[in-house]
Amino acid sequence: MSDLNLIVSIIASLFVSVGIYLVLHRSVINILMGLGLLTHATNLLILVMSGSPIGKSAPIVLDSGAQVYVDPLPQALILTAIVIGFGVTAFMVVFFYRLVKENQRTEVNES
Amino acid sequence: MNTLAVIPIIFPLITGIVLTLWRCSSAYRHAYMILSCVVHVLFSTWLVVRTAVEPVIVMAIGGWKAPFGIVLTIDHFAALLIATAGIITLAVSVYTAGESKPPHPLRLPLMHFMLAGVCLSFSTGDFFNLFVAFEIMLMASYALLVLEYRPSDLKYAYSYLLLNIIGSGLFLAAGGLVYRLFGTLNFADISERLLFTMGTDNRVVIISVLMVFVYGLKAGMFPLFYWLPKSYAALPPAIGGLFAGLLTKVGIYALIRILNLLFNNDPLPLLILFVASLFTMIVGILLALTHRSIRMILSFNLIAHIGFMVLGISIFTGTSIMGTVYYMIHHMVVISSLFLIAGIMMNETGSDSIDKMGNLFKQRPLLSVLFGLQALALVGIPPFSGFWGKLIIIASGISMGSFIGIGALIISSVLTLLSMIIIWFRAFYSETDTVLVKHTSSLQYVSVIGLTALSLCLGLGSFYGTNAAMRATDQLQDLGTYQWMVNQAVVKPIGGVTNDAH
Repeated sequence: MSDLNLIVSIIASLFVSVGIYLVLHRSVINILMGLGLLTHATNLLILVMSGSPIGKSAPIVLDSGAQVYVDPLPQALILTAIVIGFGVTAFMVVFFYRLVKENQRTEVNES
Repeated sequence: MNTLAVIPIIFPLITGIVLTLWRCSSAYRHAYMILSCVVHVLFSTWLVVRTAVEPVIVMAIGGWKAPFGIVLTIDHFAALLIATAGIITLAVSVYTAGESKPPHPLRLPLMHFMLAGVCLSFSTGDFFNLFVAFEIMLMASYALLVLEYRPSDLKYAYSYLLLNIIGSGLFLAAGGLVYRLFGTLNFADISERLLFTMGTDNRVVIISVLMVFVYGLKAGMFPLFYWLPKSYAALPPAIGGLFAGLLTKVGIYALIRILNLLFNNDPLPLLILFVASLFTMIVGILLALTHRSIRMILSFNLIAHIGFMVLGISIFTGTSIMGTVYYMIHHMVVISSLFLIAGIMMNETGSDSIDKMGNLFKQRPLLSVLFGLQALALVGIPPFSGFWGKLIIIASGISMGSFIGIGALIISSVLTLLSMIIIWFRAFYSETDTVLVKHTSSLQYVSVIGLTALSLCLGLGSFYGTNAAMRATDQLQDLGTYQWMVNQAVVKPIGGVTNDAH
């Protein structure tokens, strides 16, 4: 594993720990931020899974003579995941907005 | 012909889009929706008949060859589940059409988007596509949940949303790990590589445990079912029936499919499933006994019976998977119809709590008979449909010597009977001064009668049922043919497109 991938992995794990810490709060803003961080941690994890990018060219097939390409599939997966994550986050924002308006407070509470 | 595999997904999607845009009188919308469901059911029944004799139907989407493109694979198991999902959506559509208060205009399209997501997860042959299918299904369910709740119930949607979003994140992470480990996301390709290169790799076990967690969360397994009961019990009964019938079963389906592919003789995932199933059965049914709201009781019964299916998976022999398949199909039909019956009971008595119901047996004999039949089927009294699946699971458990699991299953069944008896004596047989009002339209009765008849057929036609379940299991475990069918699914290029695009 190259240094670059190591750094990205550490960032992803930091994102996960901070995200879980935030999701455990009661304030809706913290929960939203936590969900966002968790989503991005997953995206970074998939990015790491595509292997080291050092010495490889972008996956665009041209007559530039490049022989080794970065694996394009994880990038496609991340793109889809970002779109889905965006949709879910937007939904959560509206949902929390309604919840806050309904309960007249910015904390979630089931009782 | 294989291109037809896409119909069960495309059809509800088109119906959903049309119903979103087409805002005419509600009678036309309902008629269109019911018609579309009928076509879906007819087509998926044809798929069931076809897969019963022929090998897996494989469609390479966009003409891309198997390990690179996404494939749809419909085997007998998937076809049976698609047909059952279609029938449940049809019943819920008929039930919704009979409701006195017109539903939110977006309810009908969202139901169909959910059906599309469910059918896609049943028929996909690609790991990432399974994630996308789950997301389609979940997004539709989030929207339905928020639209259908009374404003004061919105807080119950919160745990559903949060836990499912976190589950989806883990699902995606598992997808990344699968891609790194196998270099592919295609089910057939994964199983091939598992067979030839990494039979004893411990990383496979880590991934399967992660899968057990994710699908267990979606299915409502023991430590992870917190999101389920309150969010289901606050839904209107029609949508509750749809959710209870379809959503948790997709988790069970994915569990069976993925464990079948990724199992490499390491007992850890099965052990986790076994322990979780014991607690699911016992804790679920005990919690059902503590509640008085009929939808709560049914939701906890749902959780307890998820435990039966998880037990069947954890024994993991051909016979136990066969029993699980049979039990799954029975349970989809029965739990939805019980939710719909609960809806009629709530209409008539104007209350959700069984303590406030009463006199139903004298004044609504038809409803009582329907409830009685479905309750007996849920408990698993011999000629009814629940019995056969349980019998097969128990038989396989005895042959594998897992007597603790069998004991828990039997205790849980007896307690299910108790919880149904409580409903019966409280709501149907008691002499109270409850005034019943006639609110229920005949369409709602038609939908419940249809589901009850289907469950009776599943019970009395156990010969055909077991044959179908056996065929589904054989096809599921015959990975060699599956791989061969997926790999040879070459579609002729459309319009002679070549690859050297400059």
